[in-house]
Amino acid sequence: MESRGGKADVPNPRSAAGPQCVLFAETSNPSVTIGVVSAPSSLALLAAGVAGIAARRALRSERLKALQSQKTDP
Amino acid sequence: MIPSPGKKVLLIGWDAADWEMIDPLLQSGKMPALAKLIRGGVRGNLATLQPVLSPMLWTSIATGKYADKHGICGFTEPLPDGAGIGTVRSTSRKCKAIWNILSQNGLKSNIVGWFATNPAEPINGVMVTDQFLVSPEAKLANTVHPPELTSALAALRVTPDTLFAEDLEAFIPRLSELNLKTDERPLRLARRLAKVASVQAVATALIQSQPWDLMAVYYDGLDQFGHEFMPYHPPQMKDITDRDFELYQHVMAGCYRFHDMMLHALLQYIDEQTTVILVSDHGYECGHRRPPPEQAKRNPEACHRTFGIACLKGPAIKENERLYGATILDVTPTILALLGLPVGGDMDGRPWLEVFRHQVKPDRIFGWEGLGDDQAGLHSSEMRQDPAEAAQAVSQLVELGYIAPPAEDVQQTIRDTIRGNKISLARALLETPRMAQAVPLLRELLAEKPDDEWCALALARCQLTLGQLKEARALLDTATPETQRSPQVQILLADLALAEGNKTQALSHVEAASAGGGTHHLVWAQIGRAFLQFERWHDAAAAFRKSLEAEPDNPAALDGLATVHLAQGEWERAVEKSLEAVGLVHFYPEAHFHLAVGLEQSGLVREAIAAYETALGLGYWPVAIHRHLAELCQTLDPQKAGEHQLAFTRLCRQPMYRADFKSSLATGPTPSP
Repeated sequence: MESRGGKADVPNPRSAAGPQCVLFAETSNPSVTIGVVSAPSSLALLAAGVAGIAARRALRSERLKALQSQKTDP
Repeated sequence: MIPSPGKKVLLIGWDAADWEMIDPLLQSGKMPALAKLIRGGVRGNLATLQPVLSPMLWTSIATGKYADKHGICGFTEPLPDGAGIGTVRSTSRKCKAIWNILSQNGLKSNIVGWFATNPAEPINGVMVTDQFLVSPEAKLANTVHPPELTSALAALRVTPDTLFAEDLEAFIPRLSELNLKTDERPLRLARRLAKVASVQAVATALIQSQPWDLMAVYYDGLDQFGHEFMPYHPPQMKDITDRDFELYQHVMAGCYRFHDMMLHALLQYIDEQTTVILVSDHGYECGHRRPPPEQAKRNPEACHRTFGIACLKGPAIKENERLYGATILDVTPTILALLGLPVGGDMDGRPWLEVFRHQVKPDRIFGWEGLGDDQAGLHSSEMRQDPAEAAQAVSQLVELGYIAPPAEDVQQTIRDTIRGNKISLARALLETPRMAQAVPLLRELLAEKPDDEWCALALARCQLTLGQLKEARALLDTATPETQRSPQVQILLADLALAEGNKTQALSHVEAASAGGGTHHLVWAQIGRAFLQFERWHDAAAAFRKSLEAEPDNPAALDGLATVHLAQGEWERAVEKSLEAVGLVHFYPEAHFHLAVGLEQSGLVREAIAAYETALGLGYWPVAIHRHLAELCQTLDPQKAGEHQLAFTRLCRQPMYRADFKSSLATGPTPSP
């Protein structure tokens, strides 16, 4: 899995001319079963629409922070 | 306005949704939201129209009309300024959509992502156009009405970079094994998932914050995912490597399950007074009839199936029942009936009154066009224009030297686009009772490009149907020997020879077609019909069975088999096959007639009367039907019998015309232009 190297900034995909980057968290859940998503997984939050947006943003923010701290910690 | 049976309607469009994909998932409990909808409501097949092009179909769904009446004839059209081509626009639509009709009746609509809705019409309610979902931030002007909602809704759009690995792993569990630098498929999946999620975010925001009487939401995910990933769906296709199959085989099931999750979320926002209607515009091949991947890429339409899905649930709708004979043209009339509004007489569809709990007789008016236009939320008349005419106007300005011409390749692109849309219009007209209107259009297309064999054959078929035999013969004689040898053209030559009175030649053409039948179900159905004319019952039945093997949801072949059974005195089998045929397509007059004959011969008098009356209502062979009804009604309703006898007598005094309704499903497959 890839992560964006070392920077906190997330590119604005709307202005990217080339292929858009997909942010992958370093720690993914290897036991995801197809389509069987127990709430509140990120996919369930995505399916929830506006109700899931805040939670997804919070999740993303947490993961970005975790990525950054992993890079800075010895 | 009559009291509305239902208070509000939630219309959900799942492009390309197909029961063949859905049913196994329902059976294994993997689409619980849809299962609940079906259990408490009604489900059925939904017949599509030709050509199977989504902008045309979703506009037919929204207007209740064929494309010749609504004017949307393709994915793209010339830009009004002549600078090139762009996606098809709402200004090109020639008639009102359901949201316009509701607007002028003081009802609110929230519309999300519907095809051909850009620029946004100033309706009573909210319009979020198809282009809103794909336009960059700087180009969102006119994509939302009212415009003050644009920024807030734009903030809800989901972008691929905000997706997590586990979002994609639900579709591609072995995602971590992929090299994303060399395999772009996960990225394409991410883009499509993000778009669908954007629709969901906007829809869920509007459904709870903006009042509505009609909420209509369009999701293109199943179709978009299908064009990319259906080749990997089980069973493994010949051209798919083992590795690709292992990696991507779960994508389509995952996509359907995600749609079910979104359905569940959306349904949390409605009350028991809301009627939910879930439809697709066409089905999608997902089994052994899938075209090879390379063929599918060249001709995406080849992946589409004739029947999509329909599912309804609401306070006015029966529970746990089936809907039969529905087409995409029926959705708008049904919504109007649910909301207590008159159905337009100029609409080509019918309301599904048979699935209403209580008898409803909607008012009918001649049409909604030209009535209350100032309240309908339409674009101004200056904005609305035929794109081909606009392109012509620009051309004239170029010729006069007022504006510089676009580059030659742009001009060619514009010409190709106009031509492509005219061909789509011709294909659409061939499906309607207005087939004769296709003739001047096809002549024009053929004059522009005399070597266009599809146009030549389509024109020959029209001319044959209209009795212009010499013209049809002249055209068919110009086809290349290879084309003439094709089964489809052999059938056309057979029909022509029969019309010319040359039975021997006609039969030789039919036999040649049968020998080179190929695999297309429509061609086999045509061959079957041709054998019927020679009373070659065994050969006809064999051809119809081959047609059914290729496509089980096949009204033409089912009706053909019914005809064979009638000829052989097998009444019950005839009734069984006819019922299956009309169960798939309601507007199939011959099938209703054959059903009636079978029922009559089986001694089921009341049922036979109902079937004859349906066929009569669809315009089929009035003289024969009145005669049958006059006899059948003798004991049950002598007054009615007398009326039918009178009608029969009057018709006998006039020149006899057989109703010229040919099911378009009995015509051959149309090659891509």
